[in-house]
Amino acid sequence: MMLGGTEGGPRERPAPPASRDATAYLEVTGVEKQFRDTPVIQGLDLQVRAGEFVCLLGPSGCGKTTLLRIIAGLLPADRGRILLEGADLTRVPAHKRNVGVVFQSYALFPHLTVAENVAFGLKARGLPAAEIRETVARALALVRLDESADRSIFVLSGGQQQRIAVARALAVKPKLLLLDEPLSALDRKLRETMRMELRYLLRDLAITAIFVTHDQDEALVMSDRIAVMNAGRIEQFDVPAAIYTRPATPFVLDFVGMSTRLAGTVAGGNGGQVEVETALGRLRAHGRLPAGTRVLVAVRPEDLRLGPPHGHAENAVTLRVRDPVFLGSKLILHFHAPEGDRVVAELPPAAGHGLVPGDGVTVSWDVAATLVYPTP
Amino acid sequence: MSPTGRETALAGELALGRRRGRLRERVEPISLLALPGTLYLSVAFGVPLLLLLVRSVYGDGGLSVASYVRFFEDPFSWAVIWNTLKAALLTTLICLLAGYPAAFALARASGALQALLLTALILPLSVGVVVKAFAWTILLRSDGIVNRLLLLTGLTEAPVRLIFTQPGLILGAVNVFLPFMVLPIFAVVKLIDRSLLDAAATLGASPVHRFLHVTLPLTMPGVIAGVAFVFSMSVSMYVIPTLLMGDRFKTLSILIARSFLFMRDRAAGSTLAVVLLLIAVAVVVASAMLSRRHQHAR
Repeated sequence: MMLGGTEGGPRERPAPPASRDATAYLEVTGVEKQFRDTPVIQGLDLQVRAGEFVCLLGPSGCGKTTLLRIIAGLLPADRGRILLEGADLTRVPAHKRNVGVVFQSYALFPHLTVAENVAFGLKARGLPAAEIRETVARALALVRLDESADRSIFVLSGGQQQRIAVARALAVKPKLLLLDEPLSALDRKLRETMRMELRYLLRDLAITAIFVTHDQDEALVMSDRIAVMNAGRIEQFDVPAAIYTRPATPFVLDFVGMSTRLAGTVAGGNGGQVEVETALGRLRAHGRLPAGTRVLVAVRPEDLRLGPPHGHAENAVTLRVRDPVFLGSKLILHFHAPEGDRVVAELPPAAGHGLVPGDGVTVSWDVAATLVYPTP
Repeated sequence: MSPTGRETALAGELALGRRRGRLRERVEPISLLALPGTLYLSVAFGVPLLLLLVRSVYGDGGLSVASYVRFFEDPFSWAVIWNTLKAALLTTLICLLAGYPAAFALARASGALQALLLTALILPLSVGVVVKAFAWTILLRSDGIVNRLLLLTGLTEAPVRLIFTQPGLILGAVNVFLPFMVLPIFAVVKLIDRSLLDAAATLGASPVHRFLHVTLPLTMPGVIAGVAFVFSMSVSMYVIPTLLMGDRFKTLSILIARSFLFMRDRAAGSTLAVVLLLIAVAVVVASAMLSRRHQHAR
């Protein structure tokens, strides 16, 4: 349930997608999967539009790879249906689905050269040799590895192997491309370069793709929409900006980005606003909740500002600085907060100039930027 | 020492040093670990082998290939070679056909079951060939359990002659040598990354295409090793044909034993031994080359 910051906030936010999308290209309906007695996917729905790049984001064990394998046909679902371009794929074996997969380990064939790896799917389809040669050359050129066609895959670097895996999956022109943490085996610097490269490549080809990752930065940077998964369910499915600024659940709030978190109880409310009693005083947020509801109040770090509130539309608390952390382009300020709470602000470095631990300051933020979630 | 002399000595030392350096580059220190085994094999196996070779060409007071000429001129010799090869090839083929799927089942079995199956496969090796071959003579007798089962199920009306027949021999040999086919294939199958087969499936490869173009090439090194093991052992088997076929069936091993033990014809025995050795060596070298090619392809 998303309650805070929906109406009249300072940010322009795209409208959330309709829950049932008439233009769905891939449609996953009511999919369930258990391993032994442990549910891994629980009644999951997902609609992906043609040409869209969707990320499945979640911690390990949330079922994202299992969902990917079910869509690919490598794992049967216990219940539910998979539709691609309106055709029911649920009972279609993997090799007849035309759904490409880039595996986390790349799964390149060790007994084949680079070109033979890329040609594998084309040969399996029994295409004429001349066409195979041409397609392989095009696919290798696409990932800028045409020079390495006749080499063994073992002499290639991790980044090159990753590109071969992508070229191999793309060569057969799949209707849908699935990528299972394809960047996780690369070192940080290369990973950041490959992110953009992969995003541009898939966008240029206008291919529909689903990308699995546990890395929130990767998800935010690369995807058109992000499905945040937790315990076999999708907690929120939206564009990256909405996932960050309007997390639907405390889980999404926590998993994507940092935030100030304060425990409180609803003391009252009017006109679409609630007043919450917290250890740091009364705070206001957009939303409607009955008095007495125990809630979590949250604010993104960059929404906090040093100084007294500007008028009535802002919340303010007075705190002591615990630790200023300088990160080059920004300053992260940690504050002393009551037990179980956390207050953290992200400021331009100049704004926090001269602050030392122990300094008392007033911190303000927009009521509209205040998120509030009921807690058990 | 004159300056030139010193220089020469120095140059010599340098050259020696360089040579040593090169030697060190060529010989990895770790390969020295093979030294004890190599020494043992050279003394206990290499020397007698050399004596055998010498004896086969050194008879009647001089070097001569007379014993080879005599051997290859005799049509009986070719029949023996054919017998030997046929039994070995059939044994190897049946071991391969039975062992390949078994190795997969073994590799895919879960922890406890796999340990149990491996024990079941390896433990019988400790029983010994003589005991096993003898057990088969009992099983294959006309009133043995195999024939009784055949009669009981009505598959045959009268006892089938199994013992002292080639099918009986192959049956016994397969039983003894099967583990040597299963184990190397099992070792290779276990190492195959299963996501390779998933990748092949998502690329549109049917189960048959996946087997022929992924599984089979990746298990080839195990197959080659298993074939080399079983063939080289079954081409030289002695106890099994002696017990299951007796005198009726002549193989190279049986002739070798007869030459040395009963005929006291060392030249003929050595010649036969060398022929057998060459056949086995040819197979092992061929399989080593094949497996090298597969290594290179990797």
